[in-house]
Amino acid sequence: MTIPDVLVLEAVTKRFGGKEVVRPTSLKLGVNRALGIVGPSGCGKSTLLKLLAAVETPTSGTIVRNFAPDGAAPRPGASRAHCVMMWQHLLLFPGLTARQNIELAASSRFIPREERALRLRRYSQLLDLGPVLDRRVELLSGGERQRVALARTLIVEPAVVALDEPFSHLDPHLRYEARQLLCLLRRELGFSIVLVTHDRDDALYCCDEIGVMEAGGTIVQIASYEQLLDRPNSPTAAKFAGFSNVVPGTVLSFDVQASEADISTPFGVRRIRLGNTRVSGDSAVQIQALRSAFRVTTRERPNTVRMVLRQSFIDADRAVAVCSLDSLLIEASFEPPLQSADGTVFVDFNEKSAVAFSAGR
Amino acid sequence: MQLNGNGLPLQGLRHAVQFSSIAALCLVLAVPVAGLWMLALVGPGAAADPAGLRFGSVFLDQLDHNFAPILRSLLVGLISATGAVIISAALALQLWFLGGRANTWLLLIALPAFLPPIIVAIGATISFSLLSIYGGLWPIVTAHVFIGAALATPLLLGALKNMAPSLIVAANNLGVPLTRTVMAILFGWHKSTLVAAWLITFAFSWNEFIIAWFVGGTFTTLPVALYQSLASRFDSSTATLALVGWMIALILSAAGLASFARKELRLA
Repeated sequence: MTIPDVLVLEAVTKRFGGKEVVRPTSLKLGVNRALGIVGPSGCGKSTLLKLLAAVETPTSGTIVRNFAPDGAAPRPGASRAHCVMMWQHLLLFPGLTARQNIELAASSRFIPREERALRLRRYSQLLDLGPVLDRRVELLSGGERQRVALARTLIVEPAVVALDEPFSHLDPHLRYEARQLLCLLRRELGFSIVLVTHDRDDALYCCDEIGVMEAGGTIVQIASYEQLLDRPNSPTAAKFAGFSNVVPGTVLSFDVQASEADISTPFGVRRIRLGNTRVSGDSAVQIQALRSAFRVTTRERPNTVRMVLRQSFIDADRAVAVCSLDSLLIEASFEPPLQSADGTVFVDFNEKSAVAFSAGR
Repeated sequence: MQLNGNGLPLQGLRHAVQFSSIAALCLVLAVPVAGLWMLALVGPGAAADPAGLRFGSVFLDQLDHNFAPILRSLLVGLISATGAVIISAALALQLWFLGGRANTWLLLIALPAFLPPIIVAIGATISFSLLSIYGGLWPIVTAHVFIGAALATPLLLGALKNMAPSLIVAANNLGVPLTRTVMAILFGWHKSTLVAAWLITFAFSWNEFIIAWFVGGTFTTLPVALYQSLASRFDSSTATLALVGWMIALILSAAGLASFARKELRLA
């Protein structure tokens, strides 16, 4: 027997007044799967999440929720009970202790007292909340509050946890821990996740698939990160996948079958794969390239272009140089050390790590 | 400012609320304490020198002769404060949901607090007379609730504004019923503010009469005159006074509304 998807959206839209915040969106979420929704600020990610969690109602379209484990129809009211949101600002109940915050949700669901106590013990142990359970939430640190919010969400044992930028206010160290914890809990408890974020690392760590949303409320691509990296279908998806450098170009000729084109670029004529857009001869395109597509050296070689080194830095696992040529600014990688007395460097462009889209898009 | 019970602003608010609660409590206690002080000051020999201790003697006289009215004014205070706080809580919740658009409404609700209480009282009198209810304490209670709500609503709203309205949505999403959210979360957190609001409205209501009696002595002050008139009967002179007062209140309210509406239009 196939297990039905826990959430199925079909052509769902949402309007506020005259403004369409979410354009027709269809997606599916399987049992114990994690879907990330990424996109620029204000593109409608949080509204979509609220639609999934039944906090908002769609203007049109249908949302099917299959929260019963055997695929049977959910009992009345179960939709809210079993898709619980964890909010960006956590929204813990002030004035109450961590324990009261966690228990309030459980007691409102008529979970028997013994079962509540059992779950509280389990989640406080999993989330290491023991020492802070009886402290008021406004006295807790950011990380502790985060864990209380997660425990409050999980104690009702939802089928789907909808997370709205859950790690955005955590410092990098806590952020890393929180991501690990979420992945661990998902594996252990078997719930599904919808994670709204504009942080690439959050999505990569926690999600099996990523839905890229464009400004205007349209999901342009839902795919695994590998697929996004291999074949992004829009500039937004490409940017999310890491193709953050944008270089202008002009199409000289193109091969529709191979989905490639010879493009004149500041780095010479290169054969670059095309994104899922239509191009024609002489049309302007924007080439999006990974940082690793550009290599910076201080020695001139064939096919390298002379640029001005603006800035460079090295951290644990990357070396980044920011170089410019007239109005073009790129982020490139380099092999340390990189020392240029007059600021002149030579940049090599590997077109295999680039993709082109029509400039009008 | 949107906070989830975190950080200094809410702690500062809590301290402010605690301070105002204590201040309001002191205010409420001030009247009986002052009375007891007067009693001690006057002592058994006060009658021998009434001119020297006029206030004290008069207060005791009033206490002797108007004990029932004082109790009635106490009752008015209790009912008014309770009614005002219930109405204020509902109003503050509504305004809280409105967010930034609440300011104009708040100013309108708070407007009666800037009017002389007596004007509102006679406004209520004429309103009740239009409903063929003459005399009795209800016009006074209504007026006090009206002004009490004007005092308490900004206080409660100020406290609520430090919480995100999405708390209600978050609680609902977790399955917490709305009544429980309001009682356990919103007003659970703000109970000291509620107590402060109740004490302030009670102090206002009771002092309205007690101070009038106390400082008025044998002279009949306007609140006392109105109170006596309403407590016993409703005559043509009260009706005329009420009509004039009501018109003043209406004109002031209309002027205030027009002013705020203009401001809103400018901002729009």
